[in-house]
Amino acid sequence: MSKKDAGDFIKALLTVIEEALLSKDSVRIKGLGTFKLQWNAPRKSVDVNTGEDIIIDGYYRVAFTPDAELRDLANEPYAHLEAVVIDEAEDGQKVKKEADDSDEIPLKHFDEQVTEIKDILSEINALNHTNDVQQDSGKEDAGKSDAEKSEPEKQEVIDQDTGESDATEQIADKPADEKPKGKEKNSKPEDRKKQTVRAESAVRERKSSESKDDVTKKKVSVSGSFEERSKKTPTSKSRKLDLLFVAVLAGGLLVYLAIDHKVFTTISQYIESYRIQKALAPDFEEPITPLENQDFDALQFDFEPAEFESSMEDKSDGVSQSRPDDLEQLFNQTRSYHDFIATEEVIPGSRLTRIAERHYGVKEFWVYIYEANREILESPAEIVPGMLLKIPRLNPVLADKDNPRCIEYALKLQEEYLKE
Amino acid sequence: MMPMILTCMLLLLNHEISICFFKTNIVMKHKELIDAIADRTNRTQEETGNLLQTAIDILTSQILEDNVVNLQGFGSFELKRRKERLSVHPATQVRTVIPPKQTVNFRQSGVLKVKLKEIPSHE
Repeated sequence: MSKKDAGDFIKALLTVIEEALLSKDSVRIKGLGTFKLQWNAPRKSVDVNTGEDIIIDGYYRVAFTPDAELRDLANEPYAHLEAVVIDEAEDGQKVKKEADDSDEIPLKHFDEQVTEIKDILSEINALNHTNDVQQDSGKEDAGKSDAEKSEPEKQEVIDQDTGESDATEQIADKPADEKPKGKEKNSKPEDRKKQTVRAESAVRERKSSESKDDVTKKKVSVSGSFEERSKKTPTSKSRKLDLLFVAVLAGGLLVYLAIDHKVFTTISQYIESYRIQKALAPDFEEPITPLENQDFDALQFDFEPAEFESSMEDKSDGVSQSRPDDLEQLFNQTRSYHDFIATEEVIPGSRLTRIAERHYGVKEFWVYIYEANREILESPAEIVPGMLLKIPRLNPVLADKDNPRCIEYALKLQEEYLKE
Repeated sequence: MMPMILTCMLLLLNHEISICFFKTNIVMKHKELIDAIADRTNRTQEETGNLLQTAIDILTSQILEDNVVNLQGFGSFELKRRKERLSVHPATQVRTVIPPKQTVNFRQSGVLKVKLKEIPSHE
């Protein structure tokens, strides 16, 4: 083959490529790469000599992307190098994050308290139809666990007893708070009085533990008032019964211990001190909202603004309130995954969010995929090509893409996991 | 009948793939390129295929030896070294050193640039 032929060939090659490019096509050549037209948008610039603003027109340029084959060949001298993660910087970051966490601890306690209180509430509602003695100790137990929670959060120096009275107080609050919408603002002070009275009665009940009949009577009256005030939430009974049984056992144990240690002899003193405290520092109880609500109200308002608003909106029907409560319970349950829709192999460029969007329709629900694959995934960022991810079947109520609260909760989870 | 359906399906598939990669533009593939050159130089497709292969081999071997290959009226190819750099993962804040890397760089010639200016501008 002569030189001329070779020259002609190259010329033909180049003109063919050029023509294709001029008609806005791209050309792919095996073993070399792809030639493609790229549009560079017009942009502002400054004339170097005169200092005037000029506009550079948009233009096309030929961009060349080497083939994978050629790219690897070109990179051969550096192919053995791999990306290295720097640890020291990460440590610094972690320290910062820990500091952040410590700031958030009181908030988290609030959160826990709210959820716990809700749990107890629904328990009590379920109990109304079962026998009274069980209810009694169950309630007392609830009061104890509540006390443990509320103590660190409120930072009251007084020992357990005040905590307990505080807790009973709160329990008395709850049914009243269940239907905040039903009440008028001006009736609030009255309620407050009632609560204190009820709290006192509750404490008295404990004192006179020998006169059981009396206690049960009072309890009946109390639970009766519960019934009146709160429209019952539809709850699954079987689960509640299990919880109730455990609560009864624990409650009985606690009561026995408390009597053994003779803590109740000094309880009246603490009631006094507590009342004084309450009178002195009402704003301590309602730290955030300027509204003249009870503290439970304030808490609820803080954590579920959406729910609160919705209940404000439709004042008359109880369904809207009971549903979010169920959701809240669903959120608090520890999720375990046994039922899987599919398994998905991670390929380069896969993202948990994209996989979630494909299977659930909403990318925020990737957290559940992550939860189901905790054994192989140490952190959400660590998905490596070749991994087999199990895609769990989600409770349709939990993964309701039309419910903003579900997405909100998923986002909350996401925040937690990204911090880890 | 069957072959016709099969070819139809294949054509459709091809079309779809090209659409996937480049939304509006059409890709000229290796085979089409060979066809076009064969038409132009009055050779058989096999011949042109072999010629193209040798041309590419020479081109790549020259590039890989760190020589600048200049094709007049079209542009030049050369090997370029990208420095190592520090990247930060936006979500996890993990900092990674990306190692240095060599790539093939193409620079269009002035002639081609002028020709490209004649294309009606972007819509």
